[in-house]
This record gives sequence, structure tokens and C-alpha cells, in this order.
Amino acid sequence: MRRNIHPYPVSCYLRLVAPSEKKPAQPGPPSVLDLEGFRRRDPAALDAFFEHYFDRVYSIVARLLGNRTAAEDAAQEVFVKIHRAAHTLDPARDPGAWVATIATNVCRDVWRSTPHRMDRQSASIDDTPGLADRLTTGIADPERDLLRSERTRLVQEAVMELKEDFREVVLLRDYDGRSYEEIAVIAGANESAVRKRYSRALADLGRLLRKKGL
Amino acid sequence: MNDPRTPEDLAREAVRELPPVAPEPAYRAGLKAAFASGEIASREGRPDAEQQAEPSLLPLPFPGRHRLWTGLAVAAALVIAVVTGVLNQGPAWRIAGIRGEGSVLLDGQALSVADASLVGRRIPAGVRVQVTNAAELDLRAEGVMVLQSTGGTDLILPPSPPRWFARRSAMHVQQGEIRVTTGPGFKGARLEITTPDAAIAATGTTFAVILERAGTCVCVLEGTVAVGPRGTAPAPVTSGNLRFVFRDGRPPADHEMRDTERTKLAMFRDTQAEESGRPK
Repeated sequence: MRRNIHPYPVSCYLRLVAPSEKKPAQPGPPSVLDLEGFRRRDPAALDAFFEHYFDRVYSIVARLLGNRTAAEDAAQEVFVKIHRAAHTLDPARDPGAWVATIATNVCRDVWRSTPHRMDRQSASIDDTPGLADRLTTGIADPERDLLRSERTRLVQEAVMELKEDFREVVLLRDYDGRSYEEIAVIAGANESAVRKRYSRALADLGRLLRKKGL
Repeated sequence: MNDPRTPEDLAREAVRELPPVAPEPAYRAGLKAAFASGEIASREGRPDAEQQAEPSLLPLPFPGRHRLWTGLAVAAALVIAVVTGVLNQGPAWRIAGIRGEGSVLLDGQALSVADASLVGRRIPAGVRVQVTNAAELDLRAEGVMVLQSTGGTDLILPPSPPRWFARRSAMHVQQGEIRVTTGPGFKGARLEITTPDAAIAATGTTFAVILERAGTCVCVLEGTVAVGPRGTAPAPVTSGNLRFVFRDGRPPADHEMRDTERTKLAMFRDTQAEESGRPK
């Protein structure tokens, strides 16, 4: 469970786990969730389910859409759908892939929508007021934070320049930590097609990053 | 810059280093409360693309324009299809002659055989034509064909063959006797007639279809008409001959056409040619 619990500031987290050591993580154990209660839409079970999945959903949706407002709308849409379909959840299976499939489908709907296409150039998800606060309060190293923020902005910009199906597979694999098998289910493709798509997406993204001087 | 990493490695590391995106706390808390309480289920969520789109005075970006042009192209194609479909229709059927004794029913409505003003009246395709006793009704699709129905005929009038493409016309004759002669406008078209016993296909000819108690007789004055029992491949019947398709399933019988029918068909052809100004 790499993305939904962040006990350290991001910079510390990155220091603790070198990229080469990081392996795509599987979702947290569903045993901590009362899935039967969730199916019955028991408020406590819903609360726990939200706590368990929301941050991860929001994060991947925000990276896929590259827009904070769109991400908020999409994340809400995801949880509306989850709530409506709660009774269909198979408690014997990990809900993580189910949630990710819903989230990805919602993002695809957004990509297809005209308003999203018109808003593509709007504010970055990484333009957060938090950075300005940190810079002025001196909690972190301002220069380092600024560089990191600029790098993040450029990477996100490059990710957004990828074709949507490439963006999806790269983010699901390397940002959300999904296995090829899970991505195949989410994307509705076979595993070998997903591997090929991922490989081509990485090559494209690498070229874009080099162009941006990274 | 000598970065030993491949572009793939660079991309992989860059994506893995992307920090989580934290939601606004107030938004998160509000959504969580709505989700846990069930209030979220009554929300509509993100509207669909089309619903979400609001009118804008700004020029549309490429995808919007693309949709606009696609929509216009589809609309234009529809208009062209409709216009072409309308223009492709064959000429309307009109009454060319009505005579004898008895009555003619069009969809159950009786026409007086003595009413000369009926000549020229337009008859829509699809109507049921019933001719009783010794009445006769001639229907003409100008330049394309003339259909003569005699006493005892019961048929459904088909549209005349279209002008340019899909030039096929199909008609069912339930009983009675019809004569058909085609004009210059029929060239390239195909007329298919079914009776309870036989399937008939003509591509330019003068012929009669006579339904009798024992089966269907097709007499060919000119050209070639394909005739056979229903459900089998029809075989050609040449000029001056007839084929009788038996109702009881016996193999069809071929003979030379009888003189009486030859005379009737010849008169019918000549009269119609004269009335339409064509050489006999």
C-alpha cells in the first residue's frame, strides 16, 4: 500500500525508498475492511472503505486528468458509482481492482468530454498553496522544494502529453503500483497487449522527458 | 550530459517519484461524510459530456470542431440519402383504364368502373387491389410498365422499380389473372412476382400470370421470364411458351402458349404501346 498512507513528507519518503527498490505494491489487505457491511451500505463500513481507498483514488485520478477541479469532480463520480454498486461487490475478491476500474472508466469519460478537452491547459495539480507556505515558513529547504516542484511539474506535463491509453498504463503501473494482470482487467485488454503498451508508453515518456531536459 | 539511464528507466523513475496529490481537506471531509451517510447516492455526480458542455462564445478547440464537422457531415449525408431516396423512387402508379362489369376495390374502397374521371388517378403503392366479375383495371407506371388486372384478381400493388439503383420491385398475386408489359424505363430493372405456387422473375418482357385452381400458369409473349415453384430456382421460359407450376407439387409443365392468350397479350401490348406513344 504505497500511495494511500504517507507517514512522512514526500521528500523523506523518496529518500527512504530508492526508485530501484520500489516495486509496484498491491492494495492493502481487504481484511481490514468490513466488506459485508460495505455491501449493506453500513455507515461505519462505508467510512472505513472511503478512508482506505479515497486518497489513492484521488491521487491517480488527479495524475490521469492533470487538473485539480476535474479530479475532484471525477473522484466524486467514482464514489457515487461505488456507493450505487456497493451491493454488487464480491467480498471474496480484492476491491482494489474494482475501485481502480471504476476510477479509470470515469477518467475515460472525462477525456471524451468536450469540457475536459477545453480545460486541458488549466492549472496544474501540483500548483498547490502548500508549496508557497513551505517556502515562506522555512519548514523545508526552499531551493530543494522549488527544484523538486519544478521537476514534478515537468514530469506531469510530459505525462499529460502522452496518448491517453499510454498515460493510463504508465500511471497505473508505476504510480499506482498495479500489476500487469490488474491493468489488463482494468483496461479490458490482454496482458501481453498491456505489456507492449506499457513499453511503448515508457519509451515515449522517456523521449518527452529528455526533451524537457530531465 | 552523460545520463547512463535509458529513456525507459528515466520515465519509470520519474513517474514513481511523482508525489501523491492531496485533496483539499474540506472537500475530502465533505465527500466522506456524504459517502458514509449515503447522501452521495442522490448526487448526480459528474454530468455526462454533452450535459456538461455549456454554450461558449470562444472558438471551439480542434476536438469540438471535429465533432461539429462530423455532425455536419453526418447531417449532410442524411440529407443526401433522403433526397436520393426520394428522387430514386420510380414513377407513381396511375389508372390507365378501368372497364367491364363488376367492381374494383382499392384497400376495400369500391371504384365505379363507369367513372371515366378515374383515369389518371394516382394509386399509392402498397394498396390491395381486388377486381371482381368481368371488370378490368389497367395501372401504368409511366414509361416503366403497365399492369392489367382482370376479374377475380387479388394482389398487393408494389412500388414501381426505382429509377437508378436497387431497381427491384416485388409483388404478390393471391388469385386471378394479370398481364404485364414493360416499357423502355424498365431496362435494367427486375420484377419479382410470387403466387401461392410460383416464383416469377422478369427483366423486360410481356407476359401473363394466370392463377388457376390447379396452380399458376405463366405465358410469355416477349422476352424471357424465369418461373419455378416457390422455394426452388426458377428456370427460364422463352417467348411463345408457358410454364404451369402445379399446386400439388408435381414438376412444372412447359408448353407452347395457347393462341387465345397469345392474342390477348399481343392486344394488351399493342394497346399500351399505342397509348404511351411507343411504336408497337
